[in-house]
Amino acid sequence: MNIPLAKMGYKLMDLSVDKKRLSTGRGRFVLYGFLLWTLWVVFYSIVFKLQVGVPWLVALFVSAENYYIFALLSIGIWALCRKIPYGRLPVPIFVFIHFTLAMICSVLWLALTWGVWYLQSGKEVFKFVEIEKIIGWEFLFGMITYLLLAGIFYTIIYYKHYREEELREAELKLLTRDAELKALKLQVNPHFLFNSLNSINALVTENPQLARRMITRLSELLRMALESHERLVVPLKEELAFVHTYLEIERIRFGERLAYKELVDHELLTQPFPAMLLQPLVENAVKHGIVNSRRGGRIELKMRASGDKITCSVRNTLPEETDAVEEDHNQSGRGLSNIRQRLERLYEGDCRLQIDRSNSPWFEVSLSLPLKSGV
Amino acid sequence: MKEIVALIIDDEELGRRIIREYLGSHPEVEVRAECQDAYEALEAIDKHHPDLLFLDIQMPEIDGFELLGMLDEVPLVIFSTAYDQYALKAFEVNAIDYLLKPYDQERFDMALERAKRDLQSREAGQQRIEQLLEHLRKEKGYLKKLLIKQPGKIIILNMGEIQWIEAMADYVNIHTLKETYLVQQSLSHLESRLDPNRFVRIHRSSIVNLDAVQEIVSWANGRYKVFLQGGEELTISRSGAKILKKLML
Repeated sequence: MNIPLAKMGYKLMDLSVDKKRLSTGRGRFVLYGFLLWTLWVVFYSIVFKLQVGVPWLVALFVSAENYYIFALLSIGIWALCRKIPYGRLPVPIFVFIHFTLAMICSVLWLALTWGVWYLQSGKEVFKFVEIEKIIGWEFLFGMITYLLLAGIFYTIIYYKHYREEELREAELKLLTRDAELKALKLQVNPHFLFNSLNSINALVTENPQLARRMITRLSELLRMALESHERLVVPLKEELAFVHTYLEIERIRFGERLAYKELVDHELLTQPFPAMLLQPLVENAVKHGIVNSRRGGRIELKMRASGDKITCSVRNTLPEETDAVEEDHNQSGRGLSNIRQRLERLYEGDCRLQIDRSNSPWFEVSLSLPLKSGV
Repeated sequence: MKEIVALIIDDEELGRRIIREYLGSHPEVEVRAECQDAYEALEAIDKHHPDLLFLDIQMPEIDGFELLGMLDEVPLVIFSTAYDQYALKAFEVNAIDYLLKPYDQERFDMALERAKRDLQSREAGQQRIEQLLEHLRKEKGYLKKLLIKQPGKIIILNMGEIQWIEAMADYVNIHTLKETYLVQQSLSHLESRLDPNRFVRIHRSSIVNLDAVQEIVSWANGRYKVFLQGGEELTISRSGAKILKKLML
C-alpha cells in the first residue's frame, strides 16, 4: 500500500529552503544597499575633487554627508515604492505621484544636507559657496536620483514578486500531484496486485478459464481505481460492484480461507456514496482477518437505512492467537485514519466512524453517513 | 543425480502450485511436503530434514524470516515475495537470490541452479542466510513477541506475559504467571534482543520484566530483593542494582 514516491520518478523539490532565502534576505538587502551607496560616495568625491579642486578629505566628507543622507531617504523611497504598486494606478497618475514625491524628496534632501552643514560650520558655509548658483542643479540632481532609485526598486519588487509567484505555482503543482498519487496509492495495494498476478501465472496452464476470469476482474479493478479519483461520490451499487470484483480476486487467491456475507438494503443501491470508501474497509478486513490468519476467517458487510442516516458496518474475525492484536490494532488504526479524514472533508462532522473490538473475535468498523442526494 | 529433498512453504495454494509446476522439469528435486504456514513448516522440517526450502516471506502469524529464526539448522532457501521492500533490502545487502512474484520458468530455473551450486558448498550458502537473519534481527530492534518451539506446537508469548527469565546453563527458563518454558538459548543472547527499559538484568542469572515487579525491598548488606506479581522473590546483584538505579529518577 505504499509505493515510495521516489520510485515513481517523483522527486520532491526542497521548496522550504528557497522560500526562506527570499523572505529573510532583508538584512542582506540593507547591507548591499549600504555598500552601493558607499561606492557612490567614493565615486562622487572623486568627481567633486576633480571638478572643484577641494582637498581630498573635504571632497570625501562632503560627498559622504550628501549621499548617506540620501541613503537614509532611500529607505523611505523603498517603502513608498512598495506601497504604490506599479500597474494598479493609471500611468499618468502614477507618473504624477512619483514626480511630486521626487520633488518632495529632493527638497527634503537639500534641507537636510544644508541643515547639517549649517549646524557644523555656522553661517560661514554660505560664504564659502554661492548657494543660488548651485541649488537649482542640486534640486534637479536630487529628483533624478529619486527617479533612478524608484526605477531600480520597481525592478527588484517585480523580480521578487515574479520569483514568489513561480515558487507558489510549483508548490501547488507538487501538492496536487502528491494528492493524486496518494489517491492511487490508497487504491492499489502492490502486495495484492503482485500476488494476484502470481495466481494468474499459476492458473494459466491448469485452468486457463479461471486465469482469464481473474485477468478480467483485475483489469476491471484497476480501471475502476484509475477512474475513481475523478468522482467523489458514486451510486452505492457501483461501489459495491467494486468491492465484489475485489473480493472475487481475493477468493481465487485464498479459496476457503475467505468467507463473505453481505446484507444491504435494496433501496440504498441508488444512493450516492463516497467513492473508494467501502473497498479500503473491506481490504483492511481481508488483511487482518484473512491474510494474517492461517485458518482464514469471515467478513461481513451490512448496510441499512435508519432515519436520515446510512449505517454501514464491515467486520472481520481476528485470528485466535491474539498476541498480534496490539499490532493489528495499530495498523488498522492507521488505515482508518485516512478514511476518517476523507469523511470529515466530505461531510464535516455529519458522520461517524467507530471501531468496536468488544465482541470477540470480531473486529468491527461502523460508519454512519447522512442519507441524502448531494454531498 | 542425487536427490534434493525440498519443501514448498506458501500460504496461497496457487503460490505453491506454480512452484510445483516449474519443478516438473527438475526430477532431481523431490518435494516431500507442501506447507501453508510456519506451523506446518516446522513440523515438516523436523520430519523430512529438507535440503532446500521454497519459502514465501509473507505468511500469517509467523512470517518466513521468523520461521527461519526458529530453526536449529537452516537449510538452503529460495525466497519468494510479492512486494516487500524491507525484505528486498535485506536480500540485496546479504547477496541472497530471491524470486519476485510473478516469475517465469526461466527465472525459476536460474534460482534453482544457483541453489544447487550452493548445495555443493553448503556452508557458504548457510552462512549467507545466517547473516541475513542477523541483519534482520538488528534492523527489527527489540522483540515484540517470543516464539517458543515445543513438541508438536509453537507457543507465541507476548512480551508482557513474561515475568522473568532465568539462566540454566545453555538454556533459559521463561516464566509466565501460568507456566515456565525451557528454551535453548543463552541469557545474554536473549538479553541483547530485549528492550532494556523494560527487561532488566538484575543478576548474572536473571532478567526481570519491570512490569511484573511488585516491589523492591532492601535486604542485608545493602542488597536488594525483587518481589514479583506471581509471588516469586529474586536477588539483585550489585551491578543489577546499579542498572535499576539508573532507571529510577
